[in-house]
Amino acid sequence: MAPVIALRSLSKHYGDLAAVDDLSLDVAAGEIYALLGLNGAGKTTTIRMLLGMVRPSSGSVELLGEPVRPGPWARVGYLVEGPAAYPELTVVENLTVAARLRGLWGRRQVDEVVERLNLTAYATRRAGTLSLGNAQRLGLAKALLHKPELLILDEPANGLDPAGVAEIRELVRELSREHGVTVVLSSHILTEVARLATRIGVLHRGRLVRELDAGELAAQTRRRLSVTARDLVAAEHALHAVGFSPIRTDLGALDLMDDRAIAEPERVAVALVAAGCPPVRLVVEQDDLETFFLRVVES
Amino acid sequence: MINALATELLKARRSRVPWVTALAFTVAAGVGGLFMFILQDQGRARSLGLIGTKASLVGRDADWPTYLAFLAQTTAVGGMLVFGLVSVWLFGREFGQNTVKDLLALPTSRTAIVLAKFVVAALWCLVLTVQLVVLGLVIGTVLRLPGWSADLAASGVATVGATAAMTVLLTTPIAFAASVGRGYLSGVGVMMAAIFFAQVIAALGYGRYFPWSVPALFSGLAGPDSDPPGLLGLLLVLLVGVAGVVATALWWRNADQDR
Repeated sequence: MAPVIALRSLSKHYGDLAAVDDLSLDVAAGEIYALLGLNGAGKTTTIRMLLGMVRPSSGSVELLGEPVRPGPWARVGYLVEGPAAYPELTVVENLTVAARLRGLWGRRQVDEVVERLNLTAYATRRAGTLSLGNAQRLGLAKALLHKPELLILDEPANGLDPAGVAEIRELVRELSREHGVTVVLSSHILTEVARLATRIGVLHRGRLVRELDAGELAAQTRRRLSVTARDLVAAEHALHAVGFSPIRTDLGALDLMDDRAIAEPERVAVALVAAGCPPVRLVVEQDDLETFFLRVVES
Repeated sequence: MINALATELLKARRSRVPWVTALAFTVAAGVGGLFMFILQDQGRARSLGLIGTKASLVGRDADWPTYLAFLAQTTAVGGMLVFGLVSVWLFGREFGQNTVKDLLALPTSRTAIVLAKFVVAALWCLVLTVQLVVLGLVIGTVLRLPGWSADLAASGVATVGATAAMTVLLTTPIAFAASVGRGYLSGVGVMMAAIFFAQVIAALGYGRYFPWSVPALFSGLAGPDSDPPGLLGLLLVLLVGVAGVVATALWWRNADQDR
């Protein structure tokens, strides 16, 4: 089966700067593919090339089996670099503009997407008065209005509160699972990507440095048990004594990388209490994006 | 194209900018009427000092030929400003409000969107011109200006209409500048430069070769002794108008939209 997205040796240069460098990847139908990278990694430039907004310096892009110019845009929904709306138009009017430009003249699609994105209470509000979170919902509503086969989202969780992030995550999952929508999204939030994507491409300085499945990402993003005690030296000795290998951090904590410690942190707590230096903080932490990246890049 | 036109009309209808431009042309017609009112009584004009002096610049007589000529000249100079602002708003707002990205990957082509914007600009300027003419006719009738004839009125209205059409054509490069500069400022800058150089070059006597001076020459702003712009001037206006539309459409279609 032909990939929904096929990038071949895609590059974009601005003078000497390679914003995207020799990027090749395929995204299959129904996948949720995340482009993960730090700010400036080339995620947005890649997405803009996917959408035909930026011409590649070299290489090719195909969406749904077609080149991006003129492009299969009736089957693609997108949200690029945060939401934008006509401030003097209401939510419904903004969606009506988007619908007309997609050749949809009925009101049904607008009403459906307003309800789906929980915008009913704001339907007659001017877009200029919306909170950032609701403006982001409006942007997503425009992307979903025409029930696209392919959804391209640049940092879709930006500006949303935790409940909003969870809601969007569930929406994207549902679109993929129940409607077979292929989703490509970019993010710099590793935990968000880990929860949502089925496959991840790690971009760094414009290059695809790693591509991995969601399961592989969980294995790659190291977890550790971070322990703090009032007497750190005594706690270190106590943990060594029961077979752990604590590592002292610059932040005055002990990190335990052992699977046993991460799986059963209560055993660590018991050992420390028994040694007379009970923990004041005991938490399983995951690599943040920077740490993960440094490891990926260094490797 | 119909889809794009419908959205552009909706956006324009919901904006305050059409009302601002309508107010500007209402004021222009009113100021012309005020000058006529003053000129109807020279003693009253002198007693009003500065206003009397300015009013006398419009012409010596308060009659229909003078008033219709004033309306055409207002369209040439004021029109460049007001019609130019219409173009700056229609194109610059998409970049200023960052909504342009939602117009670039759609079943409606970018060229259709650009053409729809130009059609709305032309319709908008047509409505403003009709408003100016209607207000002018009402004001002139209320003031009971002498010298009316159907031929004179038809000729005067045709001059205003032709001046407006030329001025609209000359605003297309302003739309291009607002697009390339990705906002309002570049469009306003080009518009002010065009108005400034139009005055200077017309004053130097080369106005017929500078398209932005042509509407003013055509409307008779340079006085009865000055030559009309001629066919070359009119062709240059047409060329600039077409070039502005083509350049804007090509830029929207081909330029990297990376901001």
